[in-house]
Amino acid sequence: MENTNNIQEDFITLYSEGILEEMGIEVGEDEKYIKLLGMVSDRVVARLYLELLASLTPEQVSEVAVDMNSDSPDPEKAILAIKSKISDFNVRVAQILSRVKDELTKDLAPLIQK
Amino acid sequence: MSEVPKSSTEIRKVPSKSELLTRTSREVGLYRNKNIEVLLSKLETGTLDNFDGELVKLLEATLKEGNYKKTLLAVVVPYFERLTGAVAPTITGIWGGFRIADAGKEFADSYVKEDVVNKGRRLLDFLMLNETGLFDVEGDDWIETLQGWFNEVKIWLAERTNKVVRQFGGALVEGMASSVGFTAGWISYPFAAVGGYLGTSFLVGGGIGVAREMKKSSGFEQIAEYVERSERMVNEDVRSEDGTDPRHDLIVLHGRIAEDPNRLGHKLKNEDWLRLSAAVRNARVSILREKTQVPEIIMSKEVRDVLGRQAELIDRLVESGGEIANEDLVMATEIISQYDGALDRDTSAVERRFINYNSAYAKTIRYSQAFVREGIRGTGIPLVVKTVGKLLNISSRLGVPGTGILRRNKK
Repeated sequence: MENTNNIQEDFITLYSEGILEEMGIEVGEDEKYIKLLGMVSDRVVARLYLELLASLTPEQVSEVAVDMNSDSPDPEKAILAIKSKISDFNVRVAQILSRVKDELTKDLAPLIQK
Repeated sequence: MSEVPKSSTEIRKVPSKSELLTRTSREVGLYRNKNIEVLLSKLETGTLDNFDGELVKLLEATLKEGNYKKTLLAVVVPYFERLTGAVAPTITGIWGGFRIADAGKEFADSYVKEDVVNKGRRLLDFLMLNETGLFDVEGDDWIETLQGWFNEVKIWLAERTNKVVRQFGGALVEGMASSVGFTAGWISYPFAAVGGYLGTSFLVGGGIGVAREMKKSSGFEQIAEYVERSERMVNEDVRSEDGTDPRHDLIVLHGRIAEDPNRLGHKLKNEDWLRLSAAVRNARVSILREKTQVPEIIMSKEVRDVLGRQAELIDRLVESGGEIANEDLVMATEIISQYDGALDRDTSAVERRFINYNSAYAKTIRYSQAFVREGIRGTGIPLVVKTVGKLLNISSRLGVPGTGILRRNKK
């Protein structure tokens, strides 16, 4: 049985590696690859966070804000609370992932141009 | 000696496989599997549902080798390709590439594992041992059995992918998945708005429409003009009449409004401010992305070799990409800051934003990572990524030869 915790913890990295692999940039351990992967991961995280926030009602944003500013933030609880209120949450995330992937593929295209 | 499965046809003892497969080249040249002939003739009359001439010939070619697993794979994989051809482009949007071979192999493995009594192997026995046409096959039972076997492949694939789709999309998507495959457009299905007034479309270039909305707000027309011109530059490369870049005009205006205690006389509601900020974010990102287009990159004169140029390009892309990520986080900070505490729709929220801006931004950087990486764990999406990845695989192209880009083998 696979260790699902490891799978889930590595989700952003897995997805980011996949984006680079799609472009023919294989997983590596050199500094340049690590920098690229880091940037791609940051783009995915930032876009997911922004677009999810942008799609919330002001009340829902306020709940996230309250959690973020609390002494003991619990982002997992915050996102689960949001997910329970949005029936198409997973589809929404899928669409955001798809968009950011398209954007990154275009932005990184100079790397594979001859 | 082997036996053929029972059917309405006469059952005979037939030569062993080794005898059948040992033949002169002349015999091979003249040989035609009689069952394959029947299949092909059936195709001409249009009475086969699950396969065409190409698949039948593939079946014939692999039967001669006598390798059941190979035959299963050789036939099932193209069949999977045909079944999933309509949805592969849609799935590609997220997972990239549909590795049919993996799905086909998984199916074939499950059949081979279930061993001899499996219907597929019996069928292949039957087809293979009839190579010499030493006995007549009466009736079409075996054809029905063959079609039934392909139907099982189809059902297996549909059930497997529907399970993944339902897990991934939840209730909304379930209604869209048909019994055989799923609607090709499921991934672009428009979700119902839950009240987010910014709307995702604005952030991905739908700004011109938003500018019109802003114009309806009293006292906002002048700002809306700046937004509209900037968005035209972002989306359509249309400059101002005097040839200047309207994106810079908007960025400057935004900064001046933010710094002035009186907001330059503009009465801004929370939504108006956020739309303005989103347009500024679009403008900044647009400018950043232009910086890394190949013709715009001015390479150092000292960097002449391919690897050197590549290293510089990577640095620029990493820097630019990082700044774009920052722009997203700045925008996210603005959204959060508007609702820090009690709901407040007057401009005092804007003032609170600037008092706390730096700390709010710093918190956003930290919180966003945890929110996405840790928080998303509870959604089940990562597990679906892995499951879908096994079935659909995040395929990697082999890359463009000769570019020398970061080519390393995964350890």
